[in-house]
Amino acid sequence: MPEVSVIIPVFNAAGQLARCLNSVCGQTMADLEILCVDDGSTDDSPEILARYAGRDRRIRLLRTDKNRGAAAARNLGLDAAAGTWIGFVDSDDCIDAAFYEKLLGSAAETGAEVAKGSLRRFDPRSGRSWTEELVNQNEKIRRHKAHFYCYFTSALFQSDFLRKHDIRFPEELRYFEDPFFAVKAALHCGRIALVDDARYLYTLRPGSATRTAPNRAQLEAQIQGSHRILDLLDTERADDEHYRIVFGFLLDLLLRWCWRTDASDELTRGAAKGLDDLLSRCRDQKDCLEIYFLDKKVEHRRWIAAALREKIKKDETHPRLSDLRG
Amino acid sequence: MTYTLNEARMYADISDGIAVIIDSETGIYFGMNGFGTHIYENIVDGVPVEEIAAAGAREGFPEEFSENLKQFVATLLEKEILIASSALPKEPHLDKALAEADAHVPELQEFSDAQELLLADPIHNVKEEEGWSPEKSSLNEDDEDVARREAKMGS
Repeated sequence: MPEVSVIIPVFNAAGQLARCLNSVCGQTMADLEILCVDDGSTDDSPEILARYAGRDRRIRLLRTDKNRGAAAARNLGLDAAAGTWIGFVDSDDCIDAAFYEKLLGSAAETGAEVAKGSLRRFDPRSGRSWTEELVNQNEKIRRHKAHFYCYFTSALFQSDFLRKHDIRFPEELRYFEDPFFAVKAALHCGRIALVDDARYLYTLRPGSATRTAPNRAQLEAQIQGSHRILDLLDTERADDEHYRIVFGFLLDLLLRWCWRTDASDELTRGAAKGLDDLLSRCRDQKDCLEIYFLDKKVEHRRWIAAALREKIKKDETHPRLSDLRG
Repeated sequence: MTYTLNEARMYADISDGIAVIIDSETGIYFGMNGFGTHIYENIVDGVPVEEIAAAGAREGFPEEFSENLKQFVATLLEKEILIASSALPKEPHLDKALAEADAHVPELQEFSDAQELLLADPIHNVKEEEGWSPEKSSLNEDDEDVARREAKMGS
C-alpha cells in the first residue's frame, strides 16, 4: 500500500501537464501512487500521460467515459486510490519538492486526519510565486477549523477518514464542487495540521475555470453548491460558530457576484435572487450578518494598514519623531 | 504602571514585525521600527514600562536605553495611542537581536499624508437631493464646516 495517492484530474491541459507531473514525480517522499484521471481530453494530454506512465511506474492512468467534470474525475480517483493518504493536484498546478514529505511529517507528529500546506499564486513565465491573501487562510484555520472551506488541493487527507465519512465531490456541479469537499472534511476532522512552508503553487491561466468571463452556468453552480453546503451544515448539525464562518464564506462569494462589473444585468439579477434565497434560509440571519460585517471591517482595516506599511517601508527618508525633537 | 491601546480611537496592526497605528479621529498614522514594535507589544501585553527598563539593564543594553524608552512611551501617551490600564502586570520579554538591529532605539514615525483617505466618510457627505457621493460643490459647506474639518485634520 503506497503512503500517498495523488489524484490528478486532467482535461485539455497539454501545455501545463508536464510541469505538474514533474513536480509530483520529483517529490522527496517517493512512496507515491499517482492517479491521473483523463476526463475526456481532446488535446495531447492523453499522449503526454502515456509517455510519463511509461517512464514512471508509480503513475496509473484512469479515464472517464466522457467529459464529466473535475468532481467526477476526482471521485474516480478516490475509488481507485490505495494510499494511506490522499492528495489532489490540478493538472495546471504544481507543488514544492518536499510538499508531501512536510505534510506527512506534521500529520504524524500531530495525529491529524488532514494536513494542509499553503497555497501560493504562481507565474510559470517568471517562476515567481507569491501569496495574494492579506489574511493567510492558515491563520484563519488556526483560529477555527471551519475556515477550511477552500484550497483543498493544498491539503493531504487520511484515506480512511474520507471513506468513513463518505467525503466525496458533488458530481452534479461543474464548478464550485471543491468547497463542499473541504467543508465536509472540516466538519468531521478532529484536527488540521498546518504547515506554512509546504507550498502548493496555484497557476492562473486564461481559460481556466476560475478565470473565464462570468456566465450563468458558473453562477447557478455556485448557488446550487452553496445550498448543498447549507444542507450539509444542517444535516451534520454544525455548531453555531462553524455555521456562521461557512455562511460568511458563501455570502461573500455571492456578494462579489452581485457587484461584478463584467457581469450582464441578467446575471446580476440572478446573483441578487441567489443572495435573497441564501439569506432567507440562513439559520440565524441576524448573527450571521452581524459577524460577517464585523469581520469584513477588520479585514478592510488590515488592508489599509498593510498598504500604509508598504508606503512606510518605501519612505525611509521620512523624519522620525526623535529627529524632530533634536 | 501598565498601558493598553486606546482602542476607541486607534487601530493597530502588526505584521512583518512592523506596527502601523491609525488614528481614526485625525487620519494621522504611525509606524514603528522593529524594536519599537517589540517594545510596544510588550507594553500592550501588560508589561510595566519600568520592568522593561530593568530587563534592558539586565540584558546589558546601553545606558541610554532607559531614556529612549521613556521618551518613546511619553510620545505614545502624548499621541494618545496608549492609555492607562488596570491589567495585571506581566513579565517582560526582550529580544536582544531585535534590539541590536535597531541600535536599542525604539522609534515612532508620524505620517499625515493619507488624512483625506483615512477620514473619507461618504455617508456623512450625502445631501438628500444629490444622493451618495455628490460633487463637492453641491455640498454647500459653509466656512464653519470647512474650519471644523480642517481643525480635525490638524491643518
